Amino acid sequence: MKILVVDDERDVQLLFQQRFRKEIRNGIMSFVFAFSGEEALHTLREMEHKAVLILSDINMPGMSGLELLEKIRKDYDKPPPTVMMITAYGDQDNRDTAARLGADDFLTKPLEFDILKEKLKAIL
Amino acid sequence: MTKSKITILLCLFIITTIAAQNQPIVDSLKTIINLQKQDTIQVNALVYLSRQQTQVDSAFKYVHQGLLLAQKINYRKGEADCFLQIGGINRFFLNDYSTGIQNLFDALKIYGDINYTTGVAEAHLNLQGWYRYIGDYKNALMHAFAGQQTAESNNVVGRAFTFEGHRLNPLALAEIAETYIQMNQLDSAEFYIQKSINQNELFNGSKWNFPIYMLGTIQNLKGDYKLALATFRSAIPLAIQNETFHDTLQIYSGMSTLFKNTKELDSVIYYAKMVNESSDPGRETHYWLNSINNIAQAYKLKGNIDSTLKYTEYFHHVKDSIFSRDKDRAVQNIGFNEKLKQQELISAQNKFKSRLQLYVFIAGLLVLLLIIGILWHNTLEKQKAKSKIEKAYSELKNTQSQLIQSEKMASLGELTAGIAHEIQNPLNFVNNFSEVNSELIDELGEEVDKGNLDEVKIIAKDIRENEQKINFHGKRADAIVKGMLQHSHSSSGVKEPTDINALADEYLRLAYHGLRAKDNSFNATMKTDFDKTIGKINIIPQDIGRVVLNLITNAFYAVNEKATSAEASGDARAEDTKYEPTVTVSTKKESDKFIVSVEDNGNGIPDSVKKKIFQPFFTTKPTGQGTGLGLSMSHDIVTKGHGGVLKVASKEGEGTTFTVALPIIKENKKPKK
Repeated sequence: MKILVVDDERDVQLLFQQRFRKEIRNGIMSFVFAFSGEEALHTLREMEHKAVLILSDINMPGMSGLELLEKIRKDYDKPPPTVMMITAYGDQDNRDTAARLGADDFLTKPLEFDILKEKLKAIL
Repeated sequence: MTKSKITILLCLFIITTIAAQNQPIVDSLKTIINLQKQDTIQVNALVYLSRQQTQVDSAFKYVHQGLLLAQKINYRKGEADCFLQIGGINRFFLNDYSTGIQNLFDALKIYGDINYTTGVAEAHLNLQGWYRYIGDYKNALMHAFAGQQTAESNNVVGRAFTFEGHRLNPLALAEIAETYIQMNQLDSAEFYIQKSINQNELFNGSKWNFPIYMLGTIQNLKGDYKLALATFRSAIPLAIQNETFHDTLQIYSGMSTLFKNTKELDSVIYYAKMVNESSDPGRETHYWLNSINNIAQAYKLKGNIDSTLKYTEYFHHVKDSIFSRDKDRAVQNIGFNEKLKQQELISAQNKFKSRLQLYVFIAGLLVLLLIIGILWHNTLEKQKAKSKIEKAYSELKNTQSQLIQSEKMASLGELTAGIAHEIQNPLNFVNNFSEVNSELIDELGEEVDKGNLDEVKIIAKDIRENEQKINFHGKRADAIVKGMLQHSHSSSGVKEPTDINALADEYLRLAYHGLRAKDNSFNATMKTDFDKTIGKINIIPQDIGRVVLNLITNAFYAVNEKATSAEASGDARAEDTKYEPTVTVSTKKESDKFIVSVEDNGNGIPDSVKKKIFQPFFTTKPTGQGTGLGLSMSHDIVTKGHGGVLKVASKEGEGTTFTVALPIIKENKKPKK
């Protein structure tokens, strides 16, 4: 499963690689990382929209995760991928906006990876 | 389930269950009764049998027998159950509202006496439905809240009398919402229906459709038609899944009203006809009438006179046939209201007597106080003048300190959301890297046992790397908390060597994330231009931090205001003229001073306003959004606290730059307090 992780915190890359090391090693999952909304859109185009799952932070400089979500939902003409929002500030306003824009799930930091793994397995 | 869920539930248990009556059970019940054991089982059987009857005489006969027996053998719960059943018969078969409601109060009292919470909740929920039906929303809410609290605190599951087999709490919350809808208090209605939905009451493994339908109704009433339509549509499969097919009709009725609002006349007719032409026995008159009315109005708007006439006549025909029963009920209500009024009159008379005694007592007391007052008047007069002056002075000082505190708190509030965001990120790394290390240590042990030295080295390297990350992000969180504490604490008044670049950078990020967290549509580009040779400068960090935060927050406010107005006027659509809100913070060391400047490309400050911006209480922000003390305090901190200068340069339509210039103080100088 191809997963695109979008977060302006660069250590997120190492964290995901460590936490999913078994899944990556066994070829169950593979991760691609983008550090801004703009970079995520570029990566998606390069991947020819083959990502089936996008995990995106909300508060990022420049294009926010919610704007990214809106663009993905607008631009995808194929079956849309699953988009999960991840944020350090999970207030109701953010949740409502994410739901309205078509987010499939909403997780807050600090991330519970056991829960995230279960969710990813369910999608798999 | 529109008009009154309780009404329908009662109807269902009295009438519709008859259609599905189970003959073997009825026979067994009759056998129990014929045994004439005169025990609690027989009472229960009589109540149950009464509920199975289609004829009022036999329904009343069985429950009356049950009541007499329950009273004879002092079976209080059975007695209350009988009252609940008699209340239903009086209302739905006999239209005797006043007796029916009295029966419910009798049931409620007994359930309360024996502390049978299921019955208490059921009686309250029945009562609230009846009160709402007659338009007495105050009593309807009172009983609904009482029922809801009882249901919630005791996790009550309904019996055959009300919402059989399901928890009553979500029902009670939905009932509260329905009353609020009828009171046109839509925000309250939405609050309670959301609570009901959050209870996630399960129906055969599915969600309960009724509160979803209610949410759609509220959204429709609020004019949010797109959302309302989506909500209604999501309720339909739930109603089908829950096998409450007649509930789909109420949803179709709601959708026809929605389409009427959006002037989609064909859809109005389509959905309303689905309701009108249904032969479902569970169809409620309220939305049936609503649908006929919608069809008539849609045809009228389409200019189809024949169909308009046909459905208008049909509407009045159905309404008259239904409401003739309601007219009888209204007459009954008058009698009941008269009884209530008499009771209120007696109660008012008693209250009047008590009040009169109280007034006499108070009058006597006042006369006494007046005499004492006159005697002391002269003495106090002199003391008053003195204490007035002292009090005024003290109040002035208090107000001053409160104003300063409120400005501090206001800016702290602006930081809070930013801090929440900034601290959760490092916590995310600390938590997760430490968990990874724990797993890696286990793996390390396994690899050591296997003697796989290469793998051991790789894992050890990973552990070390993760440990460094934990350390880094832990310190990052620590710095944020310390910064916040510094900001909220009273200023020490002591200057200390401070990394002004780090301070400005920290407040820039906190202010940005704070605003983003509060308003997710907010966006701006942050730029920094820090003089790396500036080193540590001698300032009071809490105070200068407050100044920097205030200037940055104002700058973000200015660019956001311009972006919002540009978007509203459509300027933002043209790519070549697209406005990019930008805030730049820079520092610079000059020969005799340090410069900190905050620049924005907002609308700028008009000359007439520029003269007043450092005056206390002057603000251009809407009421409640600014204290008008931010720049005034900043000015004082820079000039009086640090001997510096705070300047503003602004051009209307282009932007504003605030510059803080602080003199370089030699090391041997004493800190200025």
